[in-house]
Order: sequence, then structure tokens, then C-alpha cells
Amino acid sequence: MSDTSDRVLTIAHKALDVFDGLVRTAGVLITSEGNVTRASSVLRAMLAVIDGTKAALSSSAPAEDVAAQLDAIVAQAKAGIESLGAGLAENNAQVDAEIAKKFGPSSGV
Amino acid sequence: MTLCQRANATAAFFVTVFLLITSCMLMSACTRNQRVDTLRASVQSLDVAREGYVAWDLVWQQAIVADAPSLEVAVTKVTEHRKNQEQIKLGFDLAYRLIALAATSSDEASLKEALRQVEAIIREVTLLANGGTK
Repeated sequence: MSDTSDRVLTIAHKALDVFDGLVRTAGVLITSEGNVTRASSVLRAMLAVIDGTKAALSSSAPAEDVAAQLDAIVAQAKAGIESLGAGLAENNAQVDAEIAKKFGPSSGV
Repeated sequence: MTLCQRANATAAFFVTVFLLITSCMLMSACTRNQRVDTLRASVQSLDVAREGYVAWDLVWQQAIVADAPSLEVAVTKVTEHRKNQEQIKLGFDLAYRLIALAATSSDEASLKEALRQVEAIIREVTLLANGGTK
């Protein structure tokens, strides 16, 4: 591995460590308020991503695995699109329900 | 912690995600293994940004409703927010599709374009989360 690659990995690890600390701190702040299952699940997902990214950055893929890993990236991208649509639709439905609760059942966006 | 404080805490995620993305941009390289590592780190960073954005979006919409003095104000502001939400959704969608395209190609241009869009959408949601107005 070249010096440049080593340096890039070092930078990426530092960035991840900062992100890691922020997520864990925010997790304590949010959950200590007694808040929300949703916040917990988001934080768990973020922590899983951090662990996965650290592992990815720490290892170099064997050549024979490259095609499979590229397929996995495509699948992850497709899943990301679907998850975004589902998450925002869920948000909108929840907010519509809160509007109806606050202003009356006939209201809505 | 108020809704807005919670939204601001979520916004802090985006700043560090952007830092991570900047690191990922530096990783664009010519070997196939490095291409895989770059794309994988990018799609995972995009996933983090997406989760953060979805969490922020809910908190923000709830704050709009909580602050609204009337149904008309609530509906108007939520409708306006959702127009922006649709644009952000399209930006994420494009970034994910470009990553998928780069993963099925081997040229430098597709990789650079995917990374450019990942950086752009994360920059956009960072600005939105830090400067959004109800």
C-alpha cells in the first residue's frame, strides 16, 4: 500500500472516530430524554454503519471477491433508495396524523 | 431538549458525514480494489446521511406543526417543506443510482460523477439542516 493510501486511511479513520463519538454522545442525549424508539433505531443503524465502514477501510478485498462486492454495492444502493422513500412516507403519514390530532380529523396536507 | 435542539443535534451528524465523504473522495484511485473500497465507503456514508435526513425531517415537520397557530399555517408550511423534501429525495436517488452505475463500470468518469453527487447531496442536506427555517 502506498504512503498516500495509508494517509487517506488514517484521515478516514479519524473522521470515523469523530463521527462515532458524536453519534454516541447524541444517543445518550436523546435517549436520556425518554424519547423515541425511532431515535434508538436510527442510532443503532448509524453505529452499525460505522463498524462496517471501519472494517471496510481496514481491509483490502481479495481480487476474486471484487465482483461480488460490487454486486453488493449495487444492492445496497437500491435498498437505500427504497428505504428513503419508505422513511419519508412514514414521516409524512405521522405528521398528517399529528395535524389531524391538533386541528381536527378533517384536516390534512 | 426541544424539538429544534433535537433537529440541531441531528444536523451535527451531517457535518461529520461530510468530513467522512471528503476522506472518501481522496480515496478515488485506479485499482479495482480501491474502487470497491471507495464505492463501499461512499454508499455507506450516503446511508448514514439518509438516516440522518429522515430523522431530521420528522423532527422538523413535527416542530412546524407544534409551532403552527392555525390549520392553514400548518398545512401551508408542511406543504412547502415537502416540496423541498421531494428535491432532497431526488438528490439522494440520483446519488444512489450513480453509485450503482459506477459499481457496474470501470471508468474513472463514472466514479468521479458518483462521488461528486454524493458530496453534493450531503452538502445540501447539511446546509438545510443547519439553516432551515420553519
